[in-house]
Amino acid sequence: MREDVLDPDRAAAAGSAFGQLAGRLPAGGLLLASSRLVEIGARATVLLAPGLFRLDLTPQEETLGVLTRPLTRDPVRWQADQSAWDGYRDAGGGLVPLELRGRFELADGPLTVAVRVLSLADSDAGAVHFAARAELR
Amino acid sequence: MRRVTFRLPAAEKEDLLDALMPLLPAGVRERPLGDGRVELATLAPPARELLEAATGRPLEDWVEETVPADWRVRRARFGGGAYVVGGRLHVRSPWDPPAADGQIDLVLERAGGGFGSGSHPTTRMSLALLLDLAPAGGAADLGCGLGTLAIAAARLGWAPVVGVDRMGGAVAAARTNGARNGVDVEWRETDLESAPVPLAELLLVNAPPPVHARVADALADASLPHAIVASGLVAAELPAAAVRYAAAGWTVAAALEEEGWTAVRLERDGA
Repeated sequence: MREDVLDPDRAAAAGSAFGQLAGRLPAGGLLLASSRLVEIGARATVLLAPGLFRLDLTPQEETLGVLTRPLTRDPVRWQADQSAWDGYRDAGGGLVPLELRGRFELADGPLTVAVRVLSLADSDAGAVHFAARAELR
Repeated sequence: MRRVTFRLPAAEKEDLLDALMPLLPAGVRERPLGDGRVELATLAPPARELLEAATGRPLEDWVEETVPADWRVRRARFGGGAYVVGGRLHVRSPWDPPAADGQIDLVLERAGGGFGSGSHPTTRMSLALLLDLAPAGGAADLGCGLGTLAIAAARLGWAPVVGVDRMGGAVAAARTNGARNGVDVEWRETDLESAPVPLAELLLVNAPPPVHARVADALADASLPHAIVASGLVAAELPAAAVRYAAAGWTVAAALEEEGWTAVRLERDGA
């Protein structure tokens, strides 16, 4: 189970349509990375860990909808770093990442996920650039 | 640009999106239809056959059309950026279709780093609480951002109305929005951390906790305001703000909460 969800080939194939990259972390685990340009009001997948979770973002003008969709029946708990909540609409600029931490209780042991998402709104384009990465260990 | 819409049973939507979302380069826009189904719109999707193979079922009411690439043109046709508050206030960008008959149409362009276009729960809740009040004199929008609350107050009959913000870009945007909506509002660049707090019969304070502390301190022994709509607070921040207002003789009379944010209407003790 754990080996399946940490398989880079499986993750890259699942996210190939939106250009997701996947690789092994040097100290063990899986790295997912993607970048997406999402129009205001549209919901788009920015990270996909098959068999574990999908991260969908819905940018609005002043808010960001965040959905962590579980793709497993195993228990999971997500936490957001509250200090990063305002990063999306920080009028002073500065790229403050959205940070999420998850913990999956898999049958063969716990697996932790650390997600970071940088966003850059382009109001003329009516869209937001997202650069996202997840480390699964 | 190719735009496609199709419909899914609402009860199965999320399960079907598990198969569809990774395949849709532009993501989806959702529109509940009220008949137990949801309409999904997307741009430049892969072939229908591929999506139906992924979901294992036909995608109902599949409609394809060619639409302009420019998002403003598409927004004008399909909407998607407007909010209706209390059935009376229609808050939209200049690129969204106008309000239905009978609604007050507020047109706001986001610019200058200003806040309050209506997409945030604090703005919508503040507007909802504002609608509960009958106009009775002047209003001051403290931390006005794009000017949404001040413009709404003016459209609802409050006068005179002043809007202040510490960000010059926001004040400029509010001034433009005020002119766009044909209201008479005095806009000022003011830092409420140091400048005197403008008082009026109604205070609209959609701002972070330090502004509420400053406003509450300014209320002691003041004959104005007669009502306060306060927001910009996450729910956990409300008790501290309420204590500060209570020390000045103000009590929470109504509260709304949405997505972890809160907005309250305050009235004088014993009112």
